[in-house]
Amino acid sequence: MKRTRLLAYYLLVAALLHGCGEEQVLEKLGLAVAVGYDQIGDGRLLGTTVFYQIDPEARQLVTVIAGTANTSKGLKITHNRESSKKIVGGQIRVAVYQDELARKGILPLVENLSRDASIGSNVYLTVAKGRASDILTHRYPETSNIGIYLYQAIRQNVNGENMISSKLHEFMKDYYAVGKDPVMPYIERVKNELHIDKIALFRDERLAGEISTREGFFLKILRERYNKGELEINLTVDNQRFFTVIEHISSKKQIKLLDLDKPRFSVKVKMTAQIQEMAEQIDLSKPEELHKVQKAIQLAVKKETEGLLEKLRKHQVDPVGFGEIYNIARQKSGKKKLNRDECREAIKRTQFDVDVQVKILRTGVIG
Amino acid sequence: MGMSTISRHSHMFISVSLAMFIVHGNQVGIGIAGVQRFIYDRVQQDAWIAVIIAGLMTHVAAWVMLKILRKYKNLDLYDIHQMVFGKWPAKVLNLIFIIYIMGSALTILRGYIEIIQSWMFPEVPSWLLNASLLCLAIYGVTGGIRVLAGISFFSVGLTICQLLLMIYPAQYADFNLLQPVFHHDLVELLDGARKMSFSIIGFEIILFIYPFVKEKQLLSRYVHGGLLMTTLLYVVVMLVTLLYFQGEQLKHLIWATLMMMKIVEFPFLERFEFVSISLWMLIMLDNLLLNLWVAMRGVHHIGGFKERKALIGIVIVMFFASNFLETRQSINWITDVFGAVGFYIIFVYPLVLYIVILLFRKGTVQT
Repeated sequence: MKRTRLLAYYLLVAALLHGCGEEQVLEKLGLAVAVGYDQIGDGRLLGTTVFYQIDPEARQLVTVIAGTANTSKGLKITHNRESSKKIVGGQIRVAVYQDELARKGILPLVENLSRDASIGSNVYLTVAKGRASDILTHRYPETSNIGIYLYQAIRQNVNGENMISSKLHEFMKDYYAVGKDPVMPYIERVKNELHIDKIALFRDERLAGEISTREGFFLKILRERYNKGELEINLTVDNQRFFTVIEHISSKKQIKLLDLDKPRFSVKVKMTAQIQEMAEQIDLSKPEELHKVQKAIQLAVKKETEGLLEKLRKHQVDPVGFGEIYNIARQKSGKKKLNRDECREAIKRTQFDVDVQVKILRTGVIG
Repeated sequence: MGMSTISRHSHMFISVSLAMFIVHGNQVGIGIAGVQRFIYDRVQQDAWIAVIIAGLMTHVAAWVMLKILRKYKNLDLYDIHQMVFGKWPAKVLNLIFIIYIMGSALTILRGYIEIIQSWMFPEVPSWLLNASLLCLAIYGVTGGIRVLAGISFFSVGLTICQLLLMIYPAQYADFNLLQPVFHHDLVELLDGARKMSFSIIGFEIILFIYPFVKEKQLLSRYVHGGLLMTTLLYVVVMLVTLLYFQGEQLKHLIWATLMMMKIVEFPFLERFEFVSISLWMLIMLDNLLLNLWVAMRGVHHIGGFKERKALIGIVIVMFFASNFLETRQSINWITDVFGAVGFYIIFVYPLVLYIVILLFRKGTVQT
């Protein structure tokens, strides 16, 4: 009996005490879905927030506000001053950084997102050509919520493996790696359309260059395991140049350091794919013809991979993580671990032996 | 010889298999939320090896404890002290144990409240959460050892459910991060294992539940089973943490495990970490209750107070002590102190006690 009374006391106390918690009424909140950061004049930040409001009387469900401050948390305060709703960050899905700002370094801004317990690790980070506020405040005739649109566009491409993923966690992980650099999608507004057709390369926290999404494909197969996706290739078979599309590509990479003193890497890529489209009439049911095509694809992929590696070296960025592999090999041979600058310096003039193997599994439903 | 005055009716006994859950449940608490960085600090990528070493140490220590308990048929540590050292030295030793046990209960309570404040409700004052958790503790502890065993059972089930969520961060694994393996010597690894000790102690509970266990001859297999479960759990969590975070990142993460939960996303439930933190209460609740139960028995033993009065007294002390620890620094400090003290009390002291018993009390095998 005593215990029942005790339980009753406990429940009473608990019920009374928990009224003291902070209430979050949905109608009084603005749910931020996208944030943009720009740099203006005297080192101040211009922040743009796209947020949802749940208000039956509002004509527009999606609202965009902008304000300036010196820090990103300062922006939150400015934004709240301008808004009738309390803006909360729990639903942020995309963060957009102006390219000018990214060239100066965005680590404090990104770190702030990751420090905030209310913001998840699944936020996509992107770089904008020009001002982020131009992208977020523009009225697009075809979409009502640019934040969600942007999120879905990036996610769709990442899931289809046409774009390298740059979630908040992945950016931080690459940034903190010694001998590896982060990348992000590079978005651009052309009139009423958003284009995601470039990839921004970072050197540590700074934007250092860009590559096309086509080059991004080759970067992706060097960075991670690749499972689906497609590629259009220009082939030369028997002195004929034509295009083909390979699909359902799956690839594995193997990167090894061959020489520690004069850094030389062996980069092996094993790829299987399916031919989907041929602009030329070639009888693929004949093994020797298929073999020729396979060879030609191999050559084309190898050439483009080498081109990409050359470009990365020119920009002095290392999104593949050669530095990391170099550092591990160094430690295994009993030398001390390099820091990030030493590591970048060490692999500056490195050589790559690229070897690509392509296996065509199927040729669609016709031979 | 002053035997414990509590009467031991059959309804106060627990089945021996529950000892496994009590041991595991009392080992896994607040430590698993963020112990990783302390071990990483010592042995970097070899942290998982240090975890295995710490696990082996628990088996050795538990083996010694069981040896001691077997010498005296039906006594707990408080009684054994009295048998071995006589009345007054035993009171001093028991008091040290009570203070230590209360201290670890305090770190658990304060640690969990800090998680709630940092992650979910920054504005809720500590005393409020203290009061509601301690009220719950009074209710639970007065239920006796069988209720505590039941809570431990559910706590273990919940721990395993949370372990399954590690699949999400494991998808971002980068196996280069474990390289080079075995890069630290044994001294460093042992140092890392010692850092682990705060998170892996708790199995000393067997010294106190021993008189309440039915079928004592089977106890050792269940105790070692519980210890093995804990070690495996920690190894998995440590490995996933090492693969998911860069070392530099991990060094700054107060709650690495919770940070990993940030990546978990269900279609119907984004931001699963908030659910996870709430469920964490049950994982740490059994630690709190078991520690308070042990302290209560101790105060009852040395002071001769009634158990319920002893419990109320302890809870009042805990409440004020916990409110005293307000900042991150003070919480870190108490965690460090009890982590260091705990290592000697749990891993070293039983061995000393066993040697003393072997050398000086050869005859006193029977009660």
